[in-house]
Amino acid sequence: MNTILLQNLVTPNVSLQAVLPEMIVAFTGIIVMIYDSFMPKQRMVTGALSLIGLAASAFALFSMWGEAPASSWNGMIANDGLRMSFTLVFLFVSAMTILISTVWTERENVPIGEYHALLLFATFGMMFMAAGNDMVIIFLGLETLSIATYVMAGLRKSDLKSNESAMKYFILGSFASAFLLYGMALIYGATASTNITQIASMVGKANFPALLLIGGAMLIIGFGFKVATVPFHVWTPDVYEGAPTPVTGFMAAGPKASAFASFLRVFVIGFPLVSGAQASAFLHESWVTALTVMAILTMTVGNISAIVQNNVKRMLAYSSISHAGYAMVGFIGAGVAKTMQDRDEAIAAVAFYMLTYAVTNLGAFAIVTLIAQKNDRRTEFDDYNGIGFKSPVLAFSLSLFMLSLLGLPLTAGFMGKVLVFRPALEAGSTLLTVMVVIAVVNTAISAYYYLRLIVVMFFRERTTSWLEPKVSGALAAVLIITILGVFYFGIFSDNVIEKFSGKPSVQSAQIK
Amino acid sequence: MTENNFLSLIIFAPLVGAAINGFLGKRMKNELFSGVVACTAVGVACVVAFMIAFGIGTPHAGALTAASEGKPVLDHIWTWIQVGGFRADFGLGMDRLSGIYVCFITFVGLLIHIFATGYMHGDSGFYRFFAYLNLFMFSMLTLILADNYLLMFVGWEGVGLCSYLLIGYYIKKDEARKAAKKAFVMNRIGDWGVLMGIFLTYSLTGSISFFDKTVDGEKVQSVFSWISQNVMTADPFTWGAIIGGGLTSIGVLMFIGACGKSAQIPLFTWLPDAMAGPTPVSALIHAATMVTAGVYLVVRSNAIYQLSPTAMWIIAIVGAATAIFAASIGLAQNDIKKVLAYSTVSQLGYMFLACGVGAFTVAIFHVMTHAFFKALLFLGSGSVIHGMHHEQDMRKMGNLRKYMPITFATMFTGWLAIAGIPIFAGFFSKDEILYKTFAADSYFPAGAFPGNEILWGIAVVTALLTAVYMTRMMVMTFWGTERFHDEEADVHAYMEHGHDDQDAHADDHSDEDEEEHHHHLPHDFKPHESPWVMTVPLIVLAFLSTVGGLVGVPYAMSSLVGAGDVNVFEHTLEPVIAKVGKNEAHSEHSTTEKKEVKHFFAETKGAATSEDHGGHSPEVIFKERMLAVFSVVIALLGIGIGWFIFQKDPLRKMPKILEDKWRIDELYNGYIVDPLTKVSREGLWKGFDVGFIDGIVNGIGHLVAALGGVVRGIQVGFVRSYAAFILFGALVVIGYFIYYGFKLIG
Repeated sequence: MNTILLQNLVTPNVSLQAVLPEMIVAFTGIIVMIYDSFMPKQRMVTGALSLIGLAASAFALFSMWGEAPASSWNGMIANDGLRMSFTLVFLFVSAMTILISTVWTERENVPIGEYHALLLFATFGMMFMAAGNDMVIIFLGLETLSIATYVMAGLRKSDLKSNESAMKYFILGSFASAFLLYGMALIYGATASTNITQIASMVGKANFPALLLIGGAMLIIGFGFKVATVPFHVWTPDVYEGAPTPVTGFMAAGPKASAFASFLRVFVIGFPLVSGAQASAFLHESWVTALTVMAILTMTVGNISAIVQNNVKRMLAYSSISHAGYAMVGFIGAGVAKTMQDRDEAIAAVAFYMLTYAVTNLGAFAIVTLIAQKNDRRTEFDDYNGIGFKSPVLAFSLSLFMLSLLGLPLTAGFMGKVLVFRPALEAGSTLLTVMVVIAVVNTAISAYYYLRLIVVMFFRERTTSWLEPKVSGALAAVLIITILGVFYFGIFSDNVIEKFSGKPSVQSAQIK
Repeated sequence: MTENNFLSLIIFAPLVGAAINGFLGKRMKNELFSGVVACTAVGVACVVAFMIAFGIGTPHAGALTAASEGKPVLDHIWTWIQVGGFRADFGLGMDRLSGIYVCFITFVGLLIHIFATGYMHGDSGFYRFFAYLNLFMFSMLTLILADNYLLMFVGWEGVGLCSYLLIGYYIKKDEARKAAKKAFVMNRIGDWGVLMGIFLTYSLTGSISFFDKTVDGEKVQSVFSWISQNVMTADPFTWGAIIGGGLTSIGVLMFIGACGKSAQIPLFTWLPDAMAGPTPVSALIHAATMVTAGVYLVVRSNAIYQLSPTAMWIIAIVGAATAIFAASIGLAQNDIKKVLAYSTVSQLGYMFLACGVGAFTVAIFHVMTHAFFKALLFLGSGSVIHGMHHEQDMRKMGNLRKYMPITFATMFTGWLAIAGIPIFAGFFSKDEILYKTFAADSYFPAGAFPGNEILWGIAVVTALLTAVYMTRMMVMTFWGTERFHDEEADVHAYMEHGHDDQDAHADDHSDEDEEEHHHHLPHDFKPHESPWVMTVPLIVLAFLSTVGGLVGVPYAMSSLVGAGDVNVFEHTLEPVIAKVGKNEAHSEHSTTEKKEVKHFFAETKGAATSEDHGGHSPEVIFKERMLAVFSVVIALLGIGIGWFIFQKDPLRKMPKILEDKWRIDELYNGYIVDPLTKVSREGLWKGFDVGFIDGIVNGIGHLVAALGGVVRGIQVGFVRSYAAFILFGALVVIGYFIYYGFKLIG
């Protein structure tokens, strides 16, 4: 009797060490929250605490990097390249956001402790989304992230736009979560597992193959919402414009990357092409085709909408939509990769792309935040007229970020694009080649609005007075880091890519 | 292959100098600081270059010494791009070719930097000038030391940029701005060729590297060793080979780039205009270093050229044509710098002629000697211009040897050198070019080099013209009567002259001079000798122009004085010149020479023993000597003609067509620039841009507005609409998957 019970009892293989980076961030968040409730408004202290927490988490992450790919917690937590590289992106984004926010939080008297705690919880959620090798964990992470970001979007309580932004984000986000959850349930119904590795081994012999397809469709909708692909992008411009600028920067860089991490894991790793199994073939073909069409739409709609914008924040919001489209090109490349190694390299390319985008975008948002002033007053293109030679440091940095977003050689954006386009091109399929061509054409189109900002800054006369904003120490640090980052990733991309793809995914390691 | 990490110091020292001057110079506002920083930076590069080249204090054998056995010194700084099979390193390599280049560039560059501290004294943009100049050195050295085509192209573009910045240095002068723009545009045309050439090289050979090397345990094969292993026969000597997409195409494309950078027909008109820049810039960039980058490219790629006779032939023709054409224009110019500019174009033509007939080592030899004597002449002219308070018109000079003895003496040696008087540097290199041109068909596969005698004839006439116009320049400047007070002597003439003068030369002055005077010099004006910072570089360069040619004395001449083979230069460069496609259809001469080469390198000491020269048959030596005597006669004849005509009448009116530079600029403006402007304005701008592009942009705007906005229509701001939109999208996606679901079931 006893022995039977013991056999049935699943011993969770608890390994705190395997989730150490996440734990550190979560605990830091709790400490910041508690500290804030006793000694409120200690901007420096909570900020410093958060940064220390993030740094410690990064340290823990690096110490895990050398370990062999494995999964723990009964396969719920993965320790592979996908998790490592994306987590690094999140930690970076978080730390930069804290530094960028110093200007804004001071200016507008934001409940600073809360803000830092929320940011840390959001980061924790993102990390779980990348680490989760189980749909339950992924959903848990996603919700933790979402709830924190809903609140952050509405942090400027007195501002109607900010409130509206939070409300819209919340309602539509819940709507999308429902799809996601339903999709997960259907997949569970088809494969009798929520574990990605298990699902991958079951797609070829699913109990109810049709359910797989419907579940896959639902998941695409849910994740598509989070990464803001067309047609599930409609929330983005309003939410991004209404949210406080640093939060917008964060949302465009962090949560988007985390959604990509889970999206990649579920589809590329969870729904592979199993030879000889029709259901798997259909599922693979349909998701690759659907995502290809979505990627094409996403880049194109994002770009064309960005062209007609007169507000810099809104322009960046639409540009972030098109960048999601470019990243999806790499995603699809990973989906059609012929060997495990190619697949891992493509995944690393997407992570690298998100890193380059984060670096560039956060730098741009730092400057936009600085110029925006209280209540985001100065965010129109006209507000940038002729500041080029009045504030050369800001203008030149912003120009650099625009050029990187555009993808000029020697900048991070260029290498990012090259790396994500390559796997899709190597697949040799007509549809994917067309997609890459469209992506390149889109890059050319995007030159219009990125260069427009540079033109406005340097070649327009300024009619209103220009008060140069003071660059604080924290912001100077952000600018230095991001500018160096843009060049480093543009010139020494090999070092990073090697690191990212040096650790294969759990599944490919097991297969070997 | 030897690694030496100090190699990067050669390029980065000037970069650091540029950065310091660029960022701190404005704040310091101190000429001494800027000058010292700039000169130190180049000085460091120079010292390191010589150390590595000659193995002084380095663990390995110097790149230029015999002990290196022709192996390059490499420095892999980082892996720049590695995508699939494509690999571009940020790596440097110094072999015999780049070693020679680097040594003379850094050394001449250093002298010119020192000279410039005197010349630019008092200029408001002093720091900016030196920042650009250092940046130029960085780019030029990157171009030369790059170990692959792509990095070389980075330097190639860098020198183009710096050239643009420095030509347009006097930004207030309209002429300077226009010249800068012209130089930039013409170079862009050439750059296109280089890029295409590089692309084609990669697609043919799968490599862009110059050297076989091992990086991170990975073997990298060079373009040239790939060619020597895989290309067995030379391209046919036909026009079709140009567009055949083979080696000939590469050769022609790269030569287009070389034409742009080295100012050959048809892309040469920018170089004379570039004289609008400060004189040290003309000396450094537009005489000694940058403009010879085209020659470097061709010689570096000699493995490609040797297998593409069509490309070689084109190079030889273009080179010879440019040489005589520019020399004829130089005959009639009155601006001292313009004379030198056309002379430079002409000499570059010689270098390409040498490349074209397969005498690559001689081309480089001439590059080096030319760097010495042309830098000297330019700096000398700078000294004259300085002494004459920025007067450049030779008609207003005369008898300056009385006032500027050192400048005169040094330029005198430069004059003899360029004219081709024996012992002086220019004699040996130019004479070699003439001889190799004459003997070209023996270097080529049979029948592949038609017209070498004609080319030789052109080259000889050019040599004559060179001697004439240089003599004219010297006479007008240093002999005769003092003409700088002429205007005061004859009021009427002054009125007339002064007007012309203002029109023609109002822009010729640097900003601080502009308000100074209307180009008539004060009554008590006396030209003055330049300070020592300017004269010392002149003296050093004069010394080099005198003895610099002795490193490459051909056997035919050295044997006259019983010195054996002392042509160190040629033997040094031998490993760089590929031995491809020379297996058959060759004259006895070259085959024996090939044996000799092998023999020479078997004995790494480089000792010249008499048996090495079994290949120099008496007839060949005799022919070479006869031709040398002939060219000396030509040089003396030229000097004589120049002396007797211009000594008598220095202001002699020259043919109008030559003074107008054969109206090439007018031709280009009339037939290329104007139509292009017109097409751009009427077609591209008014038609395409305003009509089509703006139409699209406005059309989008109208479309959006008219439909209530496809974009804005979606972004109405209502959550319910958004939810509906998402739902709609969701239904489409689900529907698509269900379609597959049905396929699966039924």
